[in-house]
Amino acid sequence: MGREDKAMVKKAEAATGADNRPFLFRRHDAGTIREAYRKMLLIRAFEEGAENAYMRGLVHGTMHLSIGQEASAVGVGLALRDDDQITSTHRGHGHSIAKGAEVKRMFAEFFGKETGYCRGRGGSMHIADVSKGNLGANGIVGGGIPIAVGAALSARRLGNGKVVVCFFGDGANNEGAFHEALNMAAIWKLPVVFVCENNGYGMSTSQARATASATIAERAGAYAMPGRTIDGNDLSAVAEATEDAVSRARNGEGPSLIELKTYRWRGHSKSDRNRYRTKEEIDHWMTENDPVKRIEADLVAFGILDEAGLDAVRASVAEEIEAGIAFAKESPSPDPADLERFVYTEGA
Amino acid sequence: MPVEVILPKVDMDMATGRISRWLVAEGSPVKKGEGLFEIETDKAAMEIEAPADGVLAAVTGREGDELPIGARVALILVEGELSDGKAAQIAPAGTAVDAAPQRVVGTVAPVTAPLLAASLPAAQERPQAASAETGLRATPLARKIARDRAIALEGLQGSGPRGRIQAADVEAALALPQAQSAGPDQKFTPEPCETAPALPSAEAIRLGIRIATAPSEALLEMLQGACVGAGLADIVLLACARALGPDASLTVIRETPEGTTGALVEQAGLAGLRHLAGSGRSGEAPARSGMTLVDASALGLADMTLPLEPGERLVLAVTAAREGMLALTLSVDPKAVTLQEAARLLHAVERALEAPFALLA
Amino acid sequence: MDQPVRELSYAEAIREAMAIALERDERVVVMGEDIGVYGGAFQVTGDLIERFGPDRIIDTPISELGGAGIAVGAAVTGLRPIFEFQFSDFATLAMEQIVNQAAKMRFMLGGSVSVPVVMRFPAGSGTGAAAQHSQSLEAWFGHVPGLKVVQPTTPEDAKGLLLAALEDPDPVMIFEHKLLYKTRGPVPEGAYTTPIGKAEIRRKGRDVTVVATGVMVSRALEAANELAAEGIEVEVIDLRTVRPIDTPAIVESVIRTHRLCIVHEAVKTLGIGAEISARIAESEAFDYLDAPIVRLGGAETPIPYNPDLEKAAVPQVPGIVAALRDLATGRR
Repeated sequence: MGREDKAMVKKAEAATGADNRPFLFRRHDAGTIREAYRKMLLIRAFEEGAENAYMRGLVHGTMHLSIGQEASAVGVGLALRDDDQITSTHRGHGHSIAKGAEVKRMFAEFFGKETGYCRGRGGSMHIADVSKGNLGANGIVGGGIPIAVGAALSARRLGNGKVVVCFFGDGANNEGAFHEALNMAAIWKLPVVFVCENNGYGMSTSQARATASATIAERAGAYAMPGRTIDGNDLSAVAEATEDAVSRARNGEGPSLIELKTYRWRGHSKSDRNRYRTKEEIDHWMTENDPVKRIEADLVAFGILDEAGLDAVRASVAEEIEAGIAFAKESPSPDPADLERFVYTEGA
Repeated sequence: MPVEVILPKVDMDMATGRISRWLVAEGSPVKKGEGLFEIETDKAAMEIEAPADGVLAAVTGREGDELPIGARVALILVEGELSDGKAAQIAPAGTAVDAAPQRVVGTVAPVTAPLLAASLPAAQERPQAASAETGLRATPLARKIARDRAIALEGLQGSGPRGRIQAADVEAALALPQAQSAGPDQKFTPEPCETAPALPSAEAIRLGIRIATAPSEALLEMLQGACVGAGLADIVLLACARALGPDASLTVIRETPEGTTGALVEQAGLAGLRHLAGSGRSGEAPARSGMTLVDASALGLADMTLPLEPGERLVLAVTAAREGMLALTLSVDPKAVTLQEAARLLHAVERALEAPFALLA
Repeated sequence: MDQPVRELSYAEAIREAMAIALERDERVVVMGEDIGVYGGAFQVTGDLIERFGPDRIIDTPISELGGAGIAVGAAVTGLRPIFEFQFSDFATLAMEQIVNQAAKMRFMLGGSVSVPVVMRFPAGSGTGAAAQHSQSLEAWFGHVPGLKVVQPTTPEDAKGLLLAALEDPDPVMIFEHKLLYKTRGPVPEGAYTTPIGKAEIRRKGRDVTVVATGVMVSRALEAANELAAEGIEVEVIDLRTVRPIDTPAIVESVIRTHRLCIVHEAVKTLGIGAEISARIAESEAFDYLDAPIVRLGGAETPIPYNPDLEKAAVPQVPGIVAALRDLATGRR
């Protein structure tokens, strides 16, 4: 829906009294929507902060930024209960924050500190917060897909009503693990939702060059589950599609596949020379289809926040990021004497 | 506020980078995302974008400089904003990196190289020659037993493949005095043989050995620590006792200007240095029989040969070390001790004196 | 009154262990290919499906990677899965989930999860199944920190180690030699565990120590019997656990016997024998060695089909006898 359309919807509503607002605004209260917006901003600010720290040499190794994909992480998160579970990917900072992770402990992990989510043992590619249902990012493309199905098997067997969301990218849909896991989830009707964040490229290889089918959603047909392609930069559309799939899963009707079309503004990782995308393409997504700007326009249009309100959220996010970086900088590094901890369960 | 432009880390293993080219002149306006400069790493060249809108100012990162990552290379000023002067004070970021290390190449290298080359062959020859001499195959266990019992592996016949000395070979060597003497039951003991007459001197075998010895301060200190007045003779005594085996008893006679003292040491092979060094230093000397060591080092003689007493199988005379040489003379009853066994005993003592600390360990 | 201990086959002992676990712990599920009504390729699961139903005895499609990964995910989230590979060779299809996920998850996540998954691998040659169904890959897994790897050789240990694995919070890989499934032996009733990480001396001897794994334990015992007639007393150690290796047990034995031979079916190069040799060379037992350490292992070939070639590819009793005799009599 374009901006003009939204204005028209609002006018039509005023005239008829019918609620024709997008799903997000019909389904959720203003507080929840504001919190969702704040999380999107927090994800972007976190990644910009992490990138800045990386360029200053404070972050070891590499990282995969999801700037430009914030709506998918947060929109999916809106459909989940706190005790629902997710598996994430190497581009998973947004998923973590959407599932309730604290940025200060994420920064601490990036800086390799003992206070990080993985005590400095995992880094950017392994951030997890099991207490919040985040079973972990994964350095292996497609590595989390069978694990998500296993978690769904646990949920069904234990009867705890949990649903598992499995995030993966368009690159992973050509891994054998994807096909094996989707098939088993379908034959056993497990409570899992497969969310493909399709940002168009598996590293440098475009979807057109890598995937035989026109969409990833249509691969769901091979496993007899519903598959939908959604505008992944439309927070409301993401939340709506996910909620449908999650309720289906929770009702015992089995898995679904959602393909979220989105775009990463940055390179695949920090060593990407960006030789496979044109500047025009990147500029187009950044200027015409920024999920943050889109939700901001909606928030103003539907009266959830005004410009001053947006500024206040921005300021509070900037403060949280600054405090998070300070926390991470000050935190202690792991003691090399503890190198062999956590290989096996202590005392076992 | 001015926005810092830094030399960013763009590669996982990157510690420094080089600005190859500025794309925007100082003082020119820039837009966020616009290419600002190019950097080179060992892998590739990359364009770095402006982090903010504004005017490029305070450019300190010069083209060609090797800079550490994170170094400030310029500022971007919002229009109207002046460089606060701090930028001008920033030291050229390159200095930290391209300072002294490059000047390390010294003039010594050409000189040392031939010196080294000349010294190398000599240095290599020695160990090679040494290893060829001692090229001995023995199992770790054989070596351990030999070490523990102060018996040398050199000269032992190895029964393993390619002559490898095994534990059994060392044990056989340790048991040799009795094994190769009169019979399996006959022990190499100091049982006095009252009835046996003294051997005529002509019938005893006498062997002598002269051992180069220069006891270190540390060794002498250790000996004094064991017993006041202890000396090299006590190392000989220890080596001798170990070589004769754990069950052997040994009569120790001490000859000094004041007179003769002595004692019989039971199971001398099990005794430590402290015990042996203190043995026979007081008390009336017992009648010599079986196996005897006579310590005459205090008499200052260069050489001394002793005849066998009745019932005595061997007697080792130890005199003083003179001019770095210690003379030992062994008299043996050929009916009880073969020439070969006697020679082995002297060699064991010789090796012990060559490496006394191994014996004491 | 002492009851005579009843005998079970190795396969029955494993099934009994699974049944005990399924009975007492609702979290336990068994997953694998054709383990339901078919009863498993080697009839190890047998009738479990009739007793516990298809929700707990779960037939998977032929999807080793996905299946293993589902077991890992289920283990992390509260179940105690036992995943059966139809042949250990098929683990090659699932290495990603075993090596990158199961083994490392606890470490990567800074200790915030454990991965209590049990995987069972029918392994080894001697059945004429040729190169892709006969391998002994346990050392591969032994090379991965985070995994535990066991190789039970008796029905009693097959049951005890499986129950121990189910009580262990970390991933345990169980390598079961296919030739052992039908062997019989005494098995205690009820639940008990055999400690992971502890070797067992199967026969005491003073002249030479042989450390054996899998089916080689019974071959080493047979060799020891033959040599006893010649006056050579062989000590036979059943390694039982490949990771962590019970080094103290081997060191203690070698200090007594001064001679060590390691026998395993897996290819000799870079194998468990190499690891044990190195550990002895690094240990206080080094000084007690009175002969070079001897390794007997699989030939540097895939497992052949022809029965004579197949036998020749892995250590057999006569070869073990000859090697131990030479070693014990100082000829090696």
